[in-house]
Amino acid sequence: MSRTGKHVWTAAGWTALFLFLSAPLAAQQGPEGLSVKAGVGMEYLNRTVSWDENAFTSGLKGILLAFQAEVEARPGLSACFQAGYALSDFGGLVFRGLPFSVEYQAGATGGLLLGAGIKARASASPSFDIEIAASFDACFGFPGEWALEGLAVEGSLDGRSSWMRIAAGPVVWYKGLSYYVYPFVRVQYTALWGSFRMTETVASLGGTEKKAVSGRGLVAVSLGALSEITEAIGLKAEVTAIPRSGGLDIGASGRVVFSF
Amino acid sequence: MKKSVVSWIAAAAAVLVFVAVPLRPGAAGSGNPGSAAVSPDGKIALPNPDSGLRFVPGRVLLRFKKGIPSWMSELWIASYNAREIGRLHQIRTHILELSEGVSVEEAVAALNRHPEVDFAEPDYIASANVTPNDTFFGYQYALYNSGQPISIPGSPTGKPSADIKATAAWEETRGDSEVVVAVVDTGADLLHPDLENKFAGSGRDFINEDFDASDDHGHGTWISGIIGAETDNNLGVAGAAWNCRLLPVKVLDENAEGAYSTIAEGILWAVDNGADIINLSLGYSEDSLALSDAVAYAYEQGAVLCAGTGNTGSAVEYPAAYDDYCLAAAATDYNDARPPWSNFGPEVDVAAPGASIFSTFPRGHFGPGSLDYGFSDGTSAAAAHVSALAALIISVKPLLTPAEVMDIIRFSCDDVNEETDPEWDEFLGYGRLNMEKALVPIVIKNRSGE
Repeated sequence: MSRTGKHVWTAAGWTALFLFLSAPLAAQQGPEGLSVKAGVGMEYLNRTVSWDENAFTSGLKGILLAFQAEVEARPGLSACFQAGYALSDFGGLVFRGLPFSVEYQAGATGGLLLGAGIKARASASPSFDIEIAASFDACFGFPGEWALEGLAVEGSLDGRSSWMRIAAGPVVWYKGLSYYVYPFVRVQYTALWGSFRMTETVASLGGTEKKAVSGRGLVAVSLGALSEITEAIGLKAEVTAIPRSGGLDIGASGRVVFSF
Repeated sequence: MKKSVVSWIAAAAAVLVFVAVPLRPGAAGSGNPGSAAVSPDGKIALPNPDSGLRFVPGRVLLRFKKGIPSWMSELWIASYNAREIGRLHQIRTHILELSEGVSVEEAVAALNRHPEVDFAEPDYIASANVTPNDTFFGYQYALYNSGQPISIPGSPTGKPSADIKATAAWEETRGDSEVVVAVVDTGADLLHPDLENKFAGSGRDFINEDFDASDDHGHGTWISGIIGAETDNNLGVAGAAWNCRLLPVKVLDENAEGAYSTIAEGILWAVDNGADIINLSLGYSEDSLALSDAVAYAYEQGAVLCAGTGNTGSAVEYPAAYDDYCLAAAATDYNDARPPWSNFGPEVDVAAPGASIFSTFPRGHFGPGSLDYGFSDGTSAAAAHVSALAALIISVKPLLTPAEVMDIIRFSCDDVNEETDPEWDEFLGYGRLNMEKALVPIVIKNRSGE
């Protein structure tokens, strides 16, 4: 089985386990006030990252596919969890600490995505709800292997990337539009850290470099909407902009939410 | 009812997993408007505006697949609010100008998703490699060979790219002035206008036992210029190790001869006085424990030693033949061929240009009023090019050991005689020096596991 195939099956295994564990939650009739939501979501991650003490920048782009569960322990307070598969592309990262310097342009690598969050309703009115939300996501990349071509002898690279992200801030929901569509604005403090460890082997030569990266831009502004198609099914879409010096990073996400 | 909802979720999950299966790493962009960085079908890897890639703002190159009528392609272009400002007819490629505010990355990503489009790509901006303004740089085929005449008009022309790719390597580094190359030779013209600012000191003269390593032969000045002549100074020649400094150590007399004991003394003094690289463009056929020990001492103290294999067309001479401690440099010419006089044997590590090498000569060497520059041949020049590369590597990677620097130099060579002697061979070793491969980051584009 190919390495990619193994990764997909690993991710599928995790998601199956996740579903298995969340099924009783969904199936049980909770106490009054307890509600459970489950969802599947996809996010396009787009962050500019800097490295080597902010001397250089490159991009971290990714596709995150995750199963999500949200448990409302009491009205207005809920915790959420997600698990899934992430493709992360650290294109443009340059490893100058290896015997032969390399620039990574080999596309996305797969990884396991895990995350958790909490949100609390701060105020409610007929037209607006204000929530305070905080979340944590982490991607644990699967190992990759690349050939180092063009040298007089054979060479190879082994690498693994990972990243984590935190975000916290208020979400303002507007409820006056209709019964079915609820637009929202989210303003968050968000930070991202990551690393890419690369090991180079060229005949008798060898070296390892771990490149630490951090996200540029610390404030994210999101616009989105939740559309309740039926009482049990909702669609949520969101576009996020992270201003940074010299530009703007735009990301997006969408999810299908099932309420129980 | 609840069970059916769970079943519904499981079904959705299965669909998602099914959809995810074809998403091999790197294929994340398929069908996603924001996934500009990944290439679902290998058409293009999008530029990251912060990764140093440069392209013309607002401009895109676009080719439609064969068979698309022109009215349709024009409609396509108009639908993207783009304007055709030129066309490369022979290769059916449109040059488009995007509307103000439209990002090149997003336009390229969007265009590449359409099956009618063969490719869309940014209009990248190329630039000439670093070309110094030294008057005679055009004669230095060893550094950059465009197929120019090797010397005076009517002289042979070289094969383009039969060079050590110095100009491309200088994009990455031009060397660190803290890195010192000791030229253990006949000394150097300390007041040569193309060298005087490059010396780390007046050196050491073991022939006359003083601290004035002036050159009374010319060979050491020639070697010094190849390694480290002042570069981009509108004068003379360019040194391959542009910013690195030189330490002249005179161990050969006016006839370019010196005793092994003197050479050993020079090597020991050089490494004890801060030399990071020791150039040994000298040699003889006989082995010597004293010379061997001096070379081993310098190596163990952290110096990289480079030596010419010899110019007699026979076995590799000493000290180049001290395989464990010394990089042995054979010679190539302006066609990447081996001159017959270049010594050979199992100790040869690499090759570098050594035929018709233009460099500095002592002032007045060719008579009053003559140029202070000239041509010469030999594996001495090959060794000097190797020393220069070692200096540039140490400039950017000062923590490498001599063994690692030597391996980088070996493994980055171009196997220019692979048709007759594939892989390592005793004539050119691993091949002709390639400074670009040794220094410039190698772009990894192949997917994991491929």
